[in-house]
Amino acid sequence: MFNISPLLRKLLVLLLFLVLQAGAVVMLVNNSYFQQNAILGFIRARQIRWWERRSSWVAFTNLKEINQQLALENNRLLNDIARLTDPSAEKIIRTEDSVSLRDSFSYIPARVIRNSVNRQHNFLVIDKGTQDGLEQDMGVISSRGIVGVVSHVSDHYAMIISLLNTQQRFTAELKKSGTFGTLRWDGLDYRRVFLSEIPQHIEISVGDTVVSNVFSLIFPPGIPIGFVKSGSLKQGTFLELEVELFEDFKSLHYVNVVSHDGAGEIRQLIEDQQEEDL
Amino acid sequence: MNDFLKYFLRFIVIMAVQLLLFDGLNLGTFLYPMPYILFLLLFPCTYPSWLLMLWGFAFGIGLDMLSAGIMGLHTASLVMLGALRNSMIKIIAVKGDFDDLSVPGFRLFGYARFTLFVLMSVAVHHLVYFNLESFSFFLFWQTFIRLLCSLALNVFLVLLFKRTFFERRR
Repeated sequence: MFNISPLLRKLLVLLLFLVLQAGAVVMLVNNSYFQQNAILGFIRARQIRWWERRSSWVAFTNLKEINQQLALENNRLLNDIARLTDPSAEKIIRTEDSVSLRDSFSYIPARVIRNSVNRQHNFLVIDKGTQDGLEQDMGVISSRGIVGVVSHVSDHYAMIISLLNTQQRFTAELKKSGTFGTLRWDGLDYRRVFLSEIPQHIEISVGDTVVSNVFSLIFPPGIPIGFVKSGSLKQGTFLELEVELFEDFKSLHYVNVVSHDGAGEIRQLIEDQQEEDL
Repeated sequence: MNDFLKYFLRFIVIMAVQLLLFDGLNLGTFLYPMPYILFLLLFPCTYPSWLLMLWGFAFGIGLDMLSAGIMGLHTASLVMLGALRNSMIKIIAVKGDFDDLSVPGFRLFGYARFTLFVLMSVAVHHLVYFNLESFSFFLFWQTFIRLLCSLALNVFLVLLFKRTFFERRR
């Protein structure tokens, strides 16, 4: 073939190696994950059909547990209805001009067709998309806690960054004191996460419930997430709490996507403010 | 050309098995089955390493795009393995061991040396993969244990598949 000196040849091979490796690392750092849908939409659609078939089989084998979950949720909803239809509670019915009406949440049920718990960056795929009213940055919950946030939507499917993703942070608060902190996953155990940046004067006992934060734009307030298992002082300033999740991500089959009517408006407001500050 | 076709067919089959079977297995945080590493180990001993790197790059990109994960992880690991594979063959081979056509395998190197070769190859791949995945030394020991567990599993799987499907019996 080519008649080149061995040294030059070695240099060329090294150069090729550096170029290929740099290409891979650039992809990694840019995290161009979601451009894949544009490039490979065709294959994705078929692949999703395969995932769907697989997940429906898995869901079938787990029917008993799912039934239990649904029964629990039904029970909770029935209690809510009973409370709301109670004549003595009539005063909480909202009127047209009430402010809280604009701040309402609605739910879109969806089925999980792809899920993982054993990577450092876990994603879910659900069978609802833009045609069902999904948008980017919507929250996703299940009957047992928060699940994640919608990161990319196609016509019929949506991709969700799971709570079990080491690069994703959520805010959560302690139900008892209302103190909020950052919820993150350390990539190790899919049953527990960490709630950090809790001031050390807050009194905490094992078993305290951790719920979603009132200031969150994507989740309704007060969704239970887990309970405190242990705590430790980090860097001498803040408490870090180990939180055991109510959610079992390994047996997650049905979720609800949260649509918050006011979220877009509030985000716009914050962006405007930030632009003014600049 | 015939050879290229053979490699391409292998490419498709091994990727399909990885995507349809092994990517769907949930074995916990510590075990991630990646027997696709075998793909690069099946090329002949004297196959030029720049071609190995290109094959690795193509395979990695395909896998990264089709599996639900982060772009570039498999690609970086396979390119690194492609670059180092031939040097590792040189480490374990004795002079006169192979000619241009021989493929690394149990019969060529014997059980002990071939296992060592697979162990080194999978270790190179995993070192890149797990360190890039966690992308920091913050969780060093955790990453290290994940690496070791997956290493044991994948060396076993690669040897098993090599023995079962790619070793010519006579």
